[in-house]
Amino acid sequence: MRDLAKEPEVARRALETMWTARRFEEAVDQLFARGLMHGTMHLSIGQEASATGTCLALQPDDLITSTHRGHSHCVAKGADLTRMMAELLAKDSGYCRGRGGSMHIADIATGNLGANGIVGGGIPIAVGAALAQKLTGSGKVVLSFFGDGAANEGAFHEAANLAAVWDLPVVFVCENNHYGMSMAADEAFAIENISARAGAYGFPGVTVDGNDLQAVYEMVTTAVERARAGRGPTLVENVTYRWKGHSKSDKNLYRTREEIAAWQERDPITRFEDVVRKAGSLTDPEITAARKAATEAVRDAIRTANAAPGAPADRDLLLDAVYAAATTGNDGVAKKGVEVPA
Amino acid sequence: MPEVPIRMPKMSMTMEEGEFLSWQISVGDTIAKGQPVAVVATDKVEMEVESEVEGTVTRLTAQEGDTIPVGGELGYVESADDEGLGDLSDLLG
Amino acid sequence: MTTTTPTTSQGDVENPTDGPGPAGSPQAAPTTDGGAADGGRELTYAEAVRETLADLMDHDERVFLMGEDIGVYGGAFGVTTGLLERFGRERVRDTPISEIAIVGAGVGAALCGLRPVVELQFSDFVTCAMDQIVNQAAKIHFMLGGAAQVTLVIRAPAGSGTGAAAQHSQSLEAWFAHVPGIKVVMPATPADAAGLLRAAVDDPNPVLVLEHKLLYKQKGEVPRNHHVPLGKAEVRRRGKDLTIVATSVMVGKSLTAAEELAGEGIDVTVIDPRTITPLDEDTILTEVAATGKALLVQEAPRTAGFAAEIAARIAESDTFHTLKAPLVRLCGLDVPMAYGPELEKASVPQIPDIVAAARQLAKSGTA
Repeated sequence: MRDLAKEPEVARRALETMWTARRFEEAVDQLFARGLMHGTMHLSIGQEASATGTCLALQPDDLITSTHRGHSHCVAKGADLTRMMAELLAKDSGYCRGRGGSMHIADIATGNLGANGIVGGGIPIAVGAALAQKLTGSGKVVLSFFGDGAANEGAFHEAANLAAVWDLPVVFVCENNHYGMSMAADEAFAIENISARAGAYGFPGVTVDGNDLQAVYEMVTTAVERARAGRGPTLVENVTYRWKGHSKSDKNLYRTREEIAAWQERDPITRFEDVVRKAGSLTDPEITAARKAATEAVRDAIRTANAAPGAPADRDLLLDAVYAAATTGNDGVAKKGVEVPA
Repeated sequence: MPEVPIRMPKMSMTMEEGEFLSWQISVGDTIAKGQPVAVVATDKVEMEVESEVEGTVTRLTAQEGDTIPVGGELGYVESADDEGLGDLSDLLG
Repeated sequence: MTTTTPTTSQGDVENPTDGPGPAGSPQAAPTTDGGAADGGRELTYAEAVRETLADLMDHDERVFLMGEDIGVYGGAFGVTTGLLERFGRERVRDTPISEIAIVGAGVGAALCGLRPVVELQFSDFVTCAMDQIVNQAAKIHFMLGGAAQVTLVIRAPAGSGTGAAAQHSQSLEAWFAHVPGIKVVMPATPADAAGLLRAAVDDPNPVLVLEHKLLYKQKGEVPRNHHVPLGKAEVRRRGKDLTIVATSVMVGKSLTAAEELAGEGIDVTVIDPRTITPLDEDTILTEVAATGKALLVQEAPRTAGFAAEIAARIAESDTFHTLKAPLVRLCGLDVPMAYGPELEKASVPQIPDIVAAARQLAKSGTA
């Protein structure tokens, strides 16, 4: 099991990914506050180690499904920042051509099957994607991100059970950030650890400090290896914390400033920087350079995305976008062999 | 060092402007990122505005009772933060 | 529905099924056509669906089935009998009772390029899977700006007449007609059951196939490799006095009614839309304009049912000017489906109701 802090290039990449996720969210926060972004945003500031450690455990062609709080998953999975930003700015060059917005960003090419506006909505979809990998023998693993709130949705339970009875190559990653929207996890659960629910369905579950990049990476790697070896699903519960409200309308009435501040003191990114310093793999200037590279990347994305044309408000275009046109022209003459898009 | 504006934030999906109520800081104060600096009201609900940068307060232009549109400037902070995103205005054409 | 007199079943083409109880006598292996000729080959509706599923799985490795009791049990209505033995457990997958997971897994597999055909044991159970159908399957292609396709087919037995009562007897096509992004078909004959299913699996969009339970044992001619395009209505009978637009089990009833009406000198057109969405509006408007009188027949309850959409399309088009009388909707009562057989029959249009409504319409308005 590799030690992320000890390998300079890996450590640098991990830091840059986490800082990029952080800066991206900060940018979104600012742009929304300025009235430049529409709708609302569900920011994952504070959860960067969970997203990054998890995605570092995946191969580039493994798949994920994500949540309404999915920007950092997207970044960690290798998404194009400009296309992400463009989507949030409702540009035609956005991932979804301005039609999906924050909660529906997907990047099929990098194996991101999409964020989801329905709590728990992506979990059964991940299980289906895992079924497809098993049926086609692709060797790929599917990873389903969801939150503590989603673990109470029927979709989670049905999907977990199905994954277990069919031994599907799926890893369930529950980011327990202690709150649904405003309901504290300890009011929503009669159990201590959400990971205990895995046992109820017959597969292993484990709770991890979600703000410890190495711990997350190790646990998810083990789970991914299990899945890839055909031994079925695992539930990894990453305990973390979101610094910002649930959405942009959240007045944080359900938690105290002190609680938020206490978690902010334990910033998962600076925590990993300390580990890296101790390991001696990167110097302080190199660490600072990683921070700056992330900032520059996000600033570049904003500049480019903002300058792009907005998605045209063309009614015919919208109507045409509802249904896919048949491209394969089967004409009832079906085909042998499975073509699974990369 | 660059002066970064403190702006009227959009605090709900439909908010277009807010009423400035009061400052919680003074010119010359050193403030931290995320620190509450002012109180504004929108739809009869009072909300705190947090600073997006750390630095020194240079000017406070908004006054009690002012109606300021979302994104509008309330005051200014001199910020030495060169790792953060900055004001973003230079990117927005 | 304009009458409360008990209806009789004389002349009905219904063949009551065994209902949702244990399967009856073991069913024969899928019917195969010994020769190459397409003509003259009769299959039941269920056999037509079964054969089509088998054909599709034979020729396209992307196609597989999921659903409750579709394997060893052969499906609650016997539709998938024999398919497990032929294709194995990997491709004919019995599931736990988990509609969210069944449909959701279908969505996920479809996003990865496969062509799952999932079965909901009763169409009423769409309610258990609504998020995956409406918020996920129907919307993903649009929300992702066209970057993905949900090549999913959901098949479900629908409709009343088996005494299954309110939670197992609904006709919910109107719900899904109202959801942009999903297509809905209601095959009324064995040939269309085969042809529309083939088209549905072929289509890159999610398609809901509502198979009326009472039609499963109905026999009809089914050409080999039959393909019926989505979005194309069929004029089953052409007449000059009035136009009936009927769906699903009401098509057969309307045709029987038409025969009876012919005996009275009333000559009736019967259109079967076949696809609910996208609707073949042109055929309907043309045929209604040709007679100037429209009778819309559906089993589903009247209020906000799909007939209301057809009525609106007629009313908002130039066909409106051709109407010699107000159009008539003959629908199920706005009631949950009762259990007792006579109660059940009284709740949906029967042949005598169609005859009476047509007779009335033929007499009314201008000539």
